[in-house]
Amino acid sequence: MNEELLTIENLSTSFPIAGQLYAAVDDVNLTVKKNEILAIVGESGSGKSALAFSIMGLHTRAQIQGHIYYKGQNLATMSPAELNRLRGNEVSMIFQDPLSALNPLMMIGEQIEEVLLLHESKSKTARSSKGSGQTRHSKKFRKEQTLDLLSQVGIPRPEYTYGQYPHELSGGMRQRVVIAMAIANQPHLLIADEPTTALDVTIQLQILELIRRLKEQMEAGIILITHDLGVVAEMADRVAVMYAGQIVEISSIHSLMSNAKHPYTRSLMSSIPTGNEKKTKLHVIQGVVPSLQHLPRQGCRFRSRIPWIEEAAHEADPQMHEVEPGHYVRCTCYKHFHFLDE
Amino acid sequence: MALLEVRDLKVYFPVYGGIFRRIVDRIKAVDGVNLTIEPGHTYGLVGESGSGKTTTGRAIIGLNPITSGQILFQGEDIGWGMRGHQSRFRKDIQMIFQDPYSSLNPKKRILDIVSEPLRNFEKLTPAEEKRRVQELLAQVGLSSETIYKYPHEFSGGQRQRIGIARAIALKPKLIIADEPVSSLDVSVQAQVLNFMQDIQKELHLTYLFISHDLGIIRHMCDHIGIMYRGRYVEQGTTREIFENPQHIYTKRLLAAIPDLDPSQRGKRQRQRQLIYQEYDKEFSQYFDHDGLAYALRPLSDTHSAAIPGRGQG
Repeated sequence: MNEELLTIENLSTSFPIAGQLYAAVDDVNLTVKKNEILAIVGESGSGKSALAFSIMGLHTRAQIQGHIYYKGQNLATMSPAELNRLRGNEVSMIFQDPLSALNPLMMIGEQIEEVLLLHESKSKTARSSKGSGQTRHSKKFRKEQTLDLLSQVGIPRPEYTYGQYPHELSGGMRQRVVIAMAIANQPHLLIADEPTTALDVTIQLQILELIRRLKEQMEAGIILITHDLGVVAEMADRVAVMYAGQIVEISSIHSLMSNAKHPYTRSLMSSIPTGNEKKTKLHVIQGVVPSLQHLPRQGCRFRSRIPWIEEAAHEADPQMHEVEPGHYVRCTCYKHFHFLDE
Repeated sequence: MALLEVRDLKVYFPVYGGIFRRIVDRIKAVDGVNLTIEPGHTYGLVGESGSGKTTTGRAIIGLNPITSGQILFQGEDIGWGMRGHQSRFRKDIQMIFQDPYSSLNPKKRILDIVSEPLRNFEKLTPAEEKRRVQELLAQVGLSSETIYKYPHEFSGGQRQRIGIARAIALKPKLIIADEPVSSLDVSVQAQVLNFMQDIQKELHLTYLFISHDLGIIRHMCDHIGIMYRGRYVEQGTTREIFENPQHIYTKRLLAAIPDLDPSQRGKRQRQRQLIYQEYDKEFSQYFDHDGLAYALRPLSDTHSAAIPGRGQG
């Protein structure tokens, strides 16, 4: 059951800026198991999407170091042809912006059929039981599959939507189509990059329930990238918090929500309006997220955002420390951290 | 006296069709909205996309033509749309837009962006103008040398604060904030929300706060109106809406808010299931045959909901 699906070791993704390389993802280690939702939380610029793109091999200019093992194969050293055999089949991704992820000139149905067509080899084995005597290459069969997928993701009139174009659909509907494409070949590993940002709460809930069902039915491993701690609390089994390219805290969801340690995690949590109507001040993290070029590469990266904590509290070379079984925190500053008004 | 009173506001958009491009239908974006905002309060307008909350806000400030209804500002008709008539309330109502990336002209310097309202209404010498802009920027926490920069040199949170500086330049009484933080990160969002509360006290501002995020609405607002397909389904104080929701649509909306306690997951899922079942079962009782809400019925002095009368449902 607890089979490891994806293991990332010492992954660094660097981008060239003015002739120099800057690491947007810096020495990241993590694992994703089967039937598990791992949430990656962080603000914009923390490197969470860059990490997802590295796993999928979608960076064109970046230099990637380290190992990304998917079922024992190293994705980082694979050729594009080998990657293409995995992507869209066993490993797939839900993109953040459904409008730019869909082709505006193709009907919804055609786009989903294309996924089935290009990755036919696998759908043959996975869906052979449903073939009902037809050849898998037949157009009719693919159409049936597509309609089936559309109704699986909760689109009310699949036959009608099949012939629509992306611009005719609402944001929530488009996101469902993107999800239908991502799960078309029943992936074992699914990366969802902010799947519900910019959607209404009720639609967000439907999409999240869809992803959760996917996990339960297909026992897939899911990486859920989000900046919304509410979504994390609803969905995740484990959480990794990223700041400035590094994982600063990783733990089970229960341990994180009840016993967050790292100053960044604690600050993030206290900056969400929690619903008490007393108009208390929300917590604001001092300063700004440093840009890629100005990132302090030495010492604790969160140091400049909590200047009231003395220097000695930080480690010179911050390491991950285990505070509870399975709960790791970077740097020793968490031991001395307090909010400014405490 | 209420600062703003909206009476039976209707905004219909024509749909053109046929060979002569005649009006064949009308979309009822806002269909009979009533609301009252007291000075110094924050009124939250909630609804899903397409519910008409932004159209309501834009109609109040005069960016959308009004089909029928009245907008009273300090008891007087605001008079948008009268031909050749520049309303004298133009100064008193300002807007903060949703997207700080598209609401600032990329070709203008911050000085020109923030001083534009001043140039329209006040006759200032360039030196006075510069000083005023620097004061305004100091008020939103930006340093005075930023006035010669361009919008692309700022982060999202900073841009949103520039938008706020522009909105408060003429010392308005009412600010319409249309999803002011939905494109910002959590910690930046906290910064902008805190800041909006600070200047509200300082300048005695009144907000009409439009958002789909119920957590933020609860944090910011005194009164809440919930819209569905152009009509109100419920309105009341923040406490009444969150603790004693009466309309099935409100209940469903509240149930969808993500909860921060992961240990309650299973329990919450069951509660949601129940509310969804109730919603599906009783939809026809709460909405008429077109799927629209009924007229509001008062439940207390402040609380009213679109619940059909007995025998009617």
